[in-house]
Amino acid sequence: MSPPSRRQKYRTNQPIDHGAVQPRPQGLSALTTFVFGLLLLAFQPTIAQVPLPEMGAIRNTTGPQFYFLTGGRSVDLDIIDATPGQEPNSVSDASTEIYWDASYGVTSKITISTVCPGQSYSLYTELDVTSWGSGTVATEQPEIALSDGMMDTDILRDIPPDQPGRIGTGVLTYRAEATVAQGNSFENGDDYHSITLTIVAQ
Amino acid sequence: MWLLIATPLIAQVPLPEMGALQGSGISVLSQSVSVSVASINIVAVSASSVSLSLSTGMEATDNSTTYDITVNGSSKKLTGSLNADYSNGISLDIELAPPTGASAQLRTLTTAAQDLVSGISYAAESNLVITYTGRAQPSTSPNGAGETRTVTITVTDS
Repeated sequence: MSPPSRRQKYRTNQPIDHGAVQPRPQGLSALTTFVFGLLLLAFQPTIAQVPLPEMGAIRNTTGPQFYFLTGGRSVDLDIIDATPGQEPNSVSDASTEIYWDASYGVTSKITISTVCPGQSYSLYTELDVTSWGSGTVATEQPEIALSDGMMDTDILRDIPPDQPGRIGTGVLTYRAEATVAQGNSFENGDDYHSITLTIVAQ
Repeated sequence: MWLLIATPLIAQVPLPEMGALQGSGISVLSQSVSVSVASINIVAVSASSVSLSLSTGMEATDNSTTYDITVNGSSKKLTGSLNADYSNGISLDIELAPPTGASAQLRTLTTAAQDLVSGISYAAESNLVITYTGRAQPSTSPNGAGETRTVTITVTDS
């Protein structure tokens, strides 16, 4: 049976042959595809688009390592007595040891700072390197006073960029001191320090 | 007719979170440290005993002993007392050199605590002189080997 003529296809009283292949409206199909494609590109998630690296350009680096070897939890320093006629006895804590691998490719250093709103008493710290024998090379700094809002202050300098010297360990000692003039916790409350240690390129 | 949409060959990666560290290593450590200071009020004397002999008169003075004091608070005082009274006619006076900013009073010691120094605040001083003066009334009989009493000096709140 020959397909219906074009004139016959659009007569409303003609029965619809569901088995016959109906040609598509050609202009409408192309427009739909184009619009869909535009919508697909328009609703892409917000992402950064970076070009693929060239072959062989990707390097596997571990980056710097910096963590607490021992301790690292909260340290509590309690000043409780004095020799009569003298200022109260200071107290110290040396339970914190840190590890570093300063793989920055340049000479590095470790800095320290603190935040302690309403600080009443004195707190000091010093880093004593414990890994000299394994080849650590660096320059220890003298004991540092920790005061609220201080700038990052060097606690260890001149960490070399290459192994084995760039890797080391050290004990962080905190020392609290309070003169009679600074009062006591019954009058002033305790001091609470948030200490930040940072390893950076020097 | 099909419309081909060509896009460049690119890799799409999510933006890093705010504050994310470069590389795989950690470069910052954080630690909490607290400092507390107890209320400290202590005093010590330089000698454990003092002897006063009134054989040459009715009065004798000794200022060979000193005291040391540490107070890290405000408004403290020193009080003094005897463990037992002397015989009738015999008395012991005491006077302490005060720390800076405090005031002292001359007292005849009894078994009741009396203020010796008042207005002590934030003091850490040593070698402050203690002056003892023993007195006997003219009618007092000799007491042989003497009478020993213990003087107690206490730091307390005003």
